[in-house]
Amino acid sequence: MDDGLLQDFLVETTESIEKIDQDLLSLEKDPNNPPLIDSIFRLMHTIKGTCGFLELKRLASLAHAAETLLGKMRDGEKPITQEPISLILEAMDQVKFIIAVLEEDKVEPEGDDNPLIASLDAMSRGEIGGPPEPEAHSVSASAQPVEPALLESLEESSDSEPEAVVVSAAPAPSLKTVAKVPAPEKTKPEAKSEPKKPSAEDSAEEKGGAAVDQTIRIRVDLVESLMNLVGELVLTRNQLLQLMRQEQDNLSVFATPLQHLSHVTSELQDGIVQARMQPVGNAWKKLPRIIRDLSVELGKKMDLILVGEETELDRQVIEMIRDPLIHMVRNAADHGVETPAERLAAGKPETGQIHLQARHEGGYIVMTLKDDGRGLNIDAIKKKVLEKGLCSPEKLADMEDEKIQQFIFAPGFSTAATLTSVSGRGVGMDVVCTNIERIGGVIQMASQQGQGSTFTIKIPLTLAIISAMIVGIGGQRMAIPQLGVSELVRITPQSDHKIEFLKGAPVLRLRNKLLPLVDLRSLLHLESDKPEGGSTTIFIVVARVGASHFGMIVDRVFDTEDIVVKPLAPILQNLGVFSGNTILGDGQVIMILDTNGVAQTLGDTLTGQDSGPTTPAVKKTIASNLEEQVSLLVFRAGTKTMKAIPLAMIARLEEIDLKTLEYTTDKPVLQYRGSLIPIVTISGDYHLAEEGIAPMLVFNTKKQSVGMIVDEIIDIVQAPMHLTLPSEGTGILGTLIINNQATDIVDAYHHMHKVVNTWQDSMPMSTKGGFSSAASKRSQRILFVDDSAFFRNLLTPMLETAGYAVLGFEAAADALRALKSDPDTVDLILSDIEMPEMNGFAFAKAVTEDPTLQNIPLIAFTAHVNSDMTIKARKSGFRECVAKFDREGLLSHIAHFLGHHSVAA
Amino acid sequence: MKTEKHVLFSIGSQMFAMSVSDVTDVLHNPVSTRIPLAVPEIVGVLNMRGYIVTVLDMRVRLNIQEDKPKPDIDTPMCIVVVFRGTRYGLMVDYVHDVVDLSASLSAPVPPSLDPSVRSMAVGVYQHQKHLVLALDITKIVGISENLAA
Repeated sequence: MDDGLLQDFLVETTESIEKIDQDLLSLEKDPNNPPLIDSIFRLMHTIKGTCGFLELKRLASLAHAAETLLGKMRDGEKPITQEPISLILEAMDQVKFIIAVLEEDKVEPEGDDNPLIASLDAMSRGEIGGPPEPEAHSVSASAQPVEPALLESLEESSDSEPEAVVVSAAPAPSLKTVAKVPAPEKTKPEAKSEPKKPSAEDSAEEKGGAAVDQTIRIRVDLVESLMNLVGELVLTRNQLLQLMRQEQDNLSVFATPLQHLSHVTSELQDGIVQARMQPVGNAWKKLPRIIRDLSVELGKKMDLILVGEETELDRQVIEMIRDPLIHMVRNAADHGVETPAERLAAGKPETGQIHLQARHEGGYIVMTLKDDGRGLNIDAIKKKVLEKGLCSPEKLADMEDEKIQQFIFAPGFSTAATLTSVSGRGVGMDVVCTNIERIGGVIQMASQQGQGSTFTIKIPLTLAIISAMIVGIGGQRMAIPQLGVSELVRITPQSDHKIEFLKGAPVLRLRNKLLPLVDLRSLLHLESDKPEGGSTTIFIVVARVGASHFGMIVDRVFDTEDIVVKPLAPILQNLGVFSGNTILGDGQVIMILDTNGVAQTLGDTLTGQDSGPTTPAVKKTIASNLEEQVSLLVFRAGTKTMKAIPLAMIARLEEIDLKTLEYTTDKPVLQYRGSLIPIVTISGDYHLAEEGIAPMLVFNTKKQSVGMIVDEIIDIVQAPMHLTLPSEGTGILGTLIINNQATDIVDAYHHMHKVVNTWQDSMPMSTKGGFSSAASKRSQRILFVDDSAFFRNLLTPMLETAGYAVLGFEAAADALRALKSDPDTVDLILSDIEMPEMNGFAFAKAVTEDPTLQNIPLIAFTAHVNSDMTIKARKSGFRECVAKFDREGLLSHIAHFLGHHSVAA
Repeated sequence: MKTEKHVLFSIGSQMFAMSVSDVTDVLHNPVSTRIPLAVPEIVGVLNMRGYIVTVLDMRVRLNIQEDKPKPDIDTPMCIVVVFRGTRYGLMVDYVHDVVDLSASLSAPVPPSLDPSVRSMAVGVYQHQKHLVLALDITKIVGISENLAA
């Protein structure tokens, strides 16, 4: 038999028996207590089951008989009186005896329990109500062979035995027996329970005499407080050692005892850390069941293979990783492993495998979760990323697959197409990631489409003591946890590495990668403690956050040290860049830097992608959308002035060889994707070079693409659309300040219109009539409300080009006033949603509530269209909700409504 | 007559009192580590027998501009209190004594007091010709915590 299994069984059963003993005694005093008897029954049932499983026949049959009797008592068929309880207690004693032997010899002792079982059965059948003495006798006798030796050893070890017998006999019904029968048989069970007597109410005692009790239970808070004390001891020891080093001569007499103290302290520390350790398997217990249930629910076949369950780590850490792990395993089962049919089709075995492995590595524990499923679907992620606006399409197109995969850690990301009960609630991997980072862990992922995914989690063994690098920043010392640190770069005036600045932001070129830097000194508002212009050796601590690295500039690096992490006072917890504090060997308190917190000060540059040299990452927050931040492509063409076009209007960016340009009737055209597209330049006096490679922006109209050749693409930026100058020259909507440079916002429609003489063809059909007969009929009028001058400037010419007359308003209130004063002038209303004072919803309500205006179709026009927004817009009276920059959609909706409207009118 | 033991301390020329029940230590001229980015009233953190104590400057907290009476002689002192399991040090000019203050001699806090001080005060006592303003530790630290949150 498996020794480990047996050992577990012994420990568990000993505990259960104790509980049963106690409960039976309580039950005797309080027979009308159904929950109590239920609990006893369940425990007995468990013992029976386990014994049966381990093929412990004697135990199993005893437990079975006792269970049956308990069952009758539970069901009220047998009154709960002293006799049956005694009998069960007797059976328990026998069980204890067998267990004692089992512990020694690993096998059940020879012997016959039939008489006891018979009396239990008889009692169950209600055949005997009387005292069961005779049976009890024979039972004891039957067990006799082992007894004398046992008794002897007990006698040796215990002085209080006689007393114990008396005490234990008092509640026991078999007192009579003890008196009557010669000592050996009946004393045996009593003697067994002897160690319990000195403190009869303490259940943990019972195990005392047996080998099973190699474990004791301790309150967690006791261990915690011991841990704290040891932490103090370590610090004091460190202080002493420091003193010792400073004054070596004077204190030499202390050297030896101090060394000894140091030694003992270290061992004590290890020991107490060990005491908090639990096998990681404790956090895995639920997993097999989860996988089983999932395979049923999802109709998949899968095996969960657990390796290294015995790997130990701090119980606090175990608590913290339990939920993230469950989530990840669920994900692997739900998203990773395919259905049997899919697997067979892919040439894989029908049954998917999910491996979970834990191992020690340095001072950390590394857990890998691997599945052989379908892997991450890059295209699905891309689609989702664009849908959620987490990244711009251009960036995404150039991004490596690995980087794209990292998006699964982005907040609110979940690729499951439909919500299942399993996963896909949109609180997926980002929560996992956050939880793991909270305990100073790191999560990494590698996935190959079709081959499966591997997640690697590296977490510290304990949270209380961590290894940290002590650095100096502006005269202050701080600790940086080692876990996040990947390397240290020393920078001297002579070294190859130099800190460079890109638009004021420090960066380091490290192995051909651009590493964003945080100057901790300026972040923390600390003064330099180094003489200006003196030796300027500094260090860069390179840390990893998610998939990206960044560097922290520090003045000095002192040492690495194991530090005891102490929580920050509540008053300090909002600073964001510290995760705790600690006491150093010299007694000084220093702050522990939170690498993730520091990384956040870099803004979003770290999330999602390594930014190119000049590319501040596209902001991803919805909040910034609300401020109507617009992504702009900044480029240079012709003149020195920077130019920009809203990114959303550009279909693609291409690089073309100017030699491939052709000319039809002196107008440049290009063969592009199987058709000829007209090429425009930004201004008439700008001549195209004969050859070379030039970037080209591609715009799509409904039927035709147009290419715009520019000199250089500079950047993609987010900027609020507050045009600073009204437009003067044609083709320019206005001027913005981007990165401290005046930048012209180019009116792309104007330029397209110049070349696409079939422009009208791209207009929706219904407007054509209006177009051709514009002279005879008044143009249909659109009232357009948007607080942003940019959009008014952008859309007005576009709508006018399409043949409508446009009335622009900056404020909804003004528009409403104008409408009310002359309700017949307007055929359609187009309104922004996010506006100061009266917003689009309120405006729409006001319009629809006015009987003279309610027939005018209303179209909402917003930066972020989603279902919520659409529903809300419809409720307020809008007929349709269109995304800004969705020119085609807007025109077709307008055409749709105006077509109908004019028919109706 | 019900009395309660109070720690008497002063900042500038004003005497203050605080119930001793939460006080664990009084430190002389403590050396603390400054915390970058923290609000001005937080002097820093210090190590007291292995406990980390967050030190608040009561002069800032109580908005007292008046200088120390004898800046050369007196070193600042720090009253260490435990509040919800965390140790805080309250930096004051001088800690005088622990005295019994009788609740019956307490008068309500005058409404004319600086509101920031009034929010922390629980009463005014007379002690040996001095007027002593009694402060409530939960308010001193609790409000700071709220400010930080």
